[in-house]
Amino acid sequence: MASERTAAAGGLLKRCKQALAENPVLFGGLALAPVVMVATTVKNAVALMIVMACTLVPVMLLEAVLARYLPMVPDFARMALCAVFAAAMLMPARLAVAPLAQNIFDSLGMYFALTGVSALMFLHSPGREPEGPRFAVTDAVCGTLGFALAVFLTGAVREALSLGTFWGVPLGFSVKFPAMAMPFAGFFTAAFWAAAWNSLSRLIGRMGGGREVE
Amino acid sequence: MTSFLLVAAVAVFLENALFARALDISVLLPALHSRRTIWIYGLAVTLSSSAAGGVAWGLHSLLQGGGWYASYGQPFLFLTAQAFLYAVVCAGLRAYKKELYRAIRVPLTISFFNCAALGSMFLAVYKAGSFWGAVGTGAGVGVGFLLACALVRVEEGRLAICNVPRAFQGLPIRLMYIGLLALATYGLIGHQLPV
Amino acid sequence: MQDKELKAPHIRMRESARSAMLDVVIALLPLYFMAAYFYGMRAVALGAVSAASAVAADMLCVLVSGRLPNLRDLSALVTGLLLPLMLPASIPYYVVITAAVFAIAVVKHPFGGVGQNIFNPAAGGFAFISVCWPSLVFSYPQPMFPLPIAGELTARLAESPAHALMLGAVPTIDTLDLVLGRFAGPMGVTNILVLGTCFIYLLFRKVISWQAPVAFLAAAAATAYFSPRIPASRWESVVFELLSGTLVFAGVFLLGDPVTSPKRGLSRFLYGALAGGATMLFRYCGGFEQAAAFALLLVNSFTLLIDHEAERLFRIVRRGILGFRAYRRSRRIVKKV
Repeated sequence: MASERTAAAGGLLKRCKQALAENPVLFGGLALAPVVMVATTVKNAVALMIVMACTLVPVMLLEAVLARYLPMVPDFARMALCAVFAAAMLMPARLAVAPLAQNIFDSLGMYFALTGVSALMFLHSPGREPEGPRFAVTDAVCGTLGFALAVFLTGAVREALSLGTFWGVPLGFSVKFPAMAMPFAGFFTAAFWAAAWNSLSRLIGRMGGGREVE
Repeated sequence: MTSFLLVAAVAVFLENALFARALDISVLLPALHSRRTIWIYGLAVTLSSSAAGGVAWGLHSLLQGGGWYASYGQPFLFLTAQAFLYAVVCAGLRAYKKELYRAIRVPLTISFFNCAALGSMFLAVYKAGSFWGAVGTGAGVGVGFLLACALVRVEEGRLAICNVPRAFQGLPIRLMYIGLLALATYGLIGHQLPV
Repeated sequence: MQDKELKAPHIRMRESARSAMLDVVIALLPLYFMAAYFYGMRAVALGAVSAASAVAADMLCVLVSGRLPNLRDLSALVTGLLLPLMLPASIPYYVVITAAVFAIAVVKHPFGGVGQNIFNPAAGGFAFISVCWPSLVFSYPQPMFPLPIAGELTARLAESPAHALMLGAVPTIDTLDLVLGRFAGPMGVTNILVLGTCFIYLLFRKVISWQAPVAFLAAAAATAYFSPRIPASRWESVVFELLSGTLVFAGVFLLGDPVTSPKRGLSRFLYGALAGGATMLFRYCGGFEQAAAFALLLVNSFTLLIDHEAERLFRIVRRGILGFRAYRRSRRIVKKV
């Protein structure tokens, strides 16, 4: 029994490491729309993190529970139920995001809701095998952390370069690059972070003697 | 018909869903697998976005006005309507064309539940002035995605033979390529589009 | 008979990538001379700063990618020298540095470095700073008033004729001034006579081919003639569209980039025509008065497609001609019999 628990814990840890090394945004290209378009400040990035956390974890848990305990429900019905549940979870997400700033929803626009939809893309991410609820929660938490990292890095760099601030606090830069707030700059920033992530994953893989992430 | 074509043309070229709004980016990556998958995903996104645009227009016409609707109700209703459309299409295909359903199950799911489909609902409601304009917006999103896929696919061959640094291989160089095309498109639009 | 052993390559071309780049640098020098004549040594200082930034960025990117810098590679120097010529002489130094670094670190090196880039680095750099600082990039000092190399600039800035066209007005500039470049505009693109000389030099040295620039200017002129922004006079519209802005400069220096342009003659013709049409579309409908760089970025993505399709078209036409000749020959044989 103890050895089974140890093996399960080891499997969970390995799964976490794998999920974090293969960042869903910077490696898998999931949920890029909100990262590219509206992750222009750290506040927006934190808002997007909250939305993703509020939608991804419950949705993946629901999908796993339905798959395990109600296998008679067809795939498409399960997916539709997950979508409705994700939509419902946008309401508490809105309440959680509101205190961040007065005009936060103006700056997020429709990408607030689109982040919730992006959570549904995680259900079909390549290489993901639907397993039990425990693994689903692990995958969801790792996915949320991966998204949070990607959106925070992008938002921080873009706010620093376009506005010269971090969370509204001036950094003292004399030159600002207003174009960094534009969508094309979001693509460039995400690309450079993805390249950095590739290099880092390869380095960690080599150091750990494990599988190199390709 | 004129409003449909005009709105669709603007959505395809001037306000391309990929280059100007990054809506289809997550669908682009699985679609680029082969020419066949580009067509499958392109058609699926076009149909789902067009239908979604029309449905969104209908819902908005019935329910617009209340404060709760804009803040809480709209995203919930739009996504629920999308889920309902998806369930109907899948149930129909499963009942009458089982092999086709099995073949296109994953592209169909991705095409319905992605930023392009839901984004076209919001765009249809706030930009289109009529039902056909709303459907045209959705169709424009889909056709724009198809054209963007074709444009990115053309360069895949060239990128494959370029000496791209190892760190940039795969997703990063594709994002750089799309970013530069987005910069070029920005010269045509000339201003930041409202989100 | 004595046998002599010779080592390959047995046929050596005098031209190389380095000599081609050197020819472009030489072609740019008269433009810098004219810019210095109009605006003082600040023009030369901007060129030097931009070139130094581009070369430094290039070396850094090469080192980061684990290779040694090639000191014989002049491509970064060419990019650095091209950029300030599309800008006003009053531009702050940090803007040209940003443009140069962006051109090298974002447009060139991620795609593989020299000879591998898909997009023209100078066009990319110009496009980026146009979006960042449009008021700085599109405001020009009057010529013949030298600007200080450093310190605060007090010169009055004006808009270019391209801006007037964008607003629907008719520029009030004498045709002679327009040709000689005696009007407020980007410091290296206004003197058409010097640009024409540079074009002839580069053609003579076989650094660029004639098809792309000629098709580019022809397409732009045709668009200006058939859809004039100065409705009163079509020819005036053609003259102002061609001679204001960076159109001719882009046709000579940016379009002919051997890395990003197609390889076959017919392809180059199509590419130039497409670029000319796209530039005019961007000018008419877009948000920026100097649209050539943006249009060029878009058209660069079609280079491979144009090469493939032109090859296919060429093959169809050639088969058609050969087939027709064979048919005529067979008819003659039948008649004889």
